[in-house]
Amino acid sequence: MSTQETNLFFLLFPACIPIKGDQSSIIMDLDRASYLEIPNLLFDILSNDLQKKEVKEIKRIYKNEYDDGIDKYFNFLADNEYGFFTKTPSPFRKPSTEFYSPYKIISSILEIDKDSNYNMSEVFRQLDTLSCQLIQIRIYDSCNLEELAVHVAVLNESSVRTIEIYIPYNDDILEKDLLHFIHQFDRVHLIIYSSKINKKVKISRNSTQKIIYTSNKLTKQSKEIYALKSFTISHQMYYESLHYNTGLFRKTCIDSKGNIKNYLSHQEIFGNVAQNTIEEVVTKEVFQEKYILHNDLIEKCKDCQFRHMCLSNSDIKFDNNKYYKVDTCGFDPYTNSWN
Amino acid sequence: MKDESKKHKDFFNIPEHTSIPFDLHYICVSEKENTDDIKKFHYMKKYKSKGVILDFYKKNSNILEIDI
Repeated sequence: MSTQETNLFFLLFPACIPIKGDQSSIIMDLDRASYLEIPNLLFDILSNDLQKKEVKEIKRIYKNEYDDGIDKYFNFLADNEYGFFTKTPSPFRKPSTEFYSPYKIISSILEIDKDSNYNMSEVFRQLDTLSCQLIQIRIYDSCNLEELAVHVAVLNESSVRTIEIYIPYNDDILEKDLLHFIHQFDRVHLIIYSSKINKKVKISRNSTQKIIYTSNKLTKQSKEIYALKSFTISHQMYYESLHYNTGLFRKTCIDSKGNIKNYLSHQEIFGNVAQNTIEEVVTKEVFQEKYILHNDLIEKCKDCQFRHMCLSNSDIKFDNNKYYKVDTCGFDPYTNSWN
Repeated sequence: MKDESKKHKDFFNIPEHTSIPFDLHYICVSEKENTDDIKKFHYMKKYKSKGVILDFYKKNSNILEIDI
């Protein structure tokens, strides 16, 4: 397409968001959950007020040195449905960046070992009252499926969307027992870790439920994994990441002793389910302090092009007027490489 | 720039609001044009990465390297 025409504007689709990193940039496609790597120069070009500046004007800003490149990139982006050419840009407004969630608690992680004696059913009831959507249960020692089923049954009529249960592999727990367990609970996924084999058992053709066997090990010291394939691209995740820490925002974790924390690996304890209700703890200002520490405010993360798709539950430290993540990832935005 | 002369017969049934330009309609409903620059397309493809569609809009944690 010739971009020499007058009154020709190029706009990105509202779901296609350019994000700048120190060395490289990307365009996140929130609709298709994908991203495209682009050079920082193209990011700068796309950061011009595209609604007010014609393509010709944009070329002029760069002294017509990049005319050919701008033509090729804009045509490429249009061909691949990241953007479009138009003569009338004014009706295409930028979407609001507001993020709203009706859930008082979005996600929760419970830790259970052989010494845990808190009332799991009661914790589930409280999380349901707080409209929790994601629950992860990490069991470290042997697991009695019948006993676990009694607790999980509390969530059968709840608004919880997904329940992930991590269970250590044990020769005594047969696959038919796991299938019997999972058939009782539509929203449960089972992850059997320290398994001898890696495999995925799909429960039925119409269900997303799975039993996953993995040889990976899970301990209380296990650290989160940061990798390209663990990134999440979605509308809500992006808009949440502009205002909040996507890992910690409205998350509540209960460790094996019943302590209430922002995340299991954090040192700070805000209460205990034996003495406090979850609501009483999570509504305290001090519990919510880290909610607003999003990646744009954190050293290194703020220079990373993946900062709006990366979920990290790391604790955050404040040093010399700057925020840092305690657990950092292996990506270096200053060299654009993974260690 | 697409102009009205490129209007496909399929467009006849599409209600077009006067405030929305023709070229947007074109992009929304027409099939993608064949590009003669196939090499460039393949070259750029390597920079494209696919994400995952989840049950919920985000995960709880990435504690083990598995797909849920």
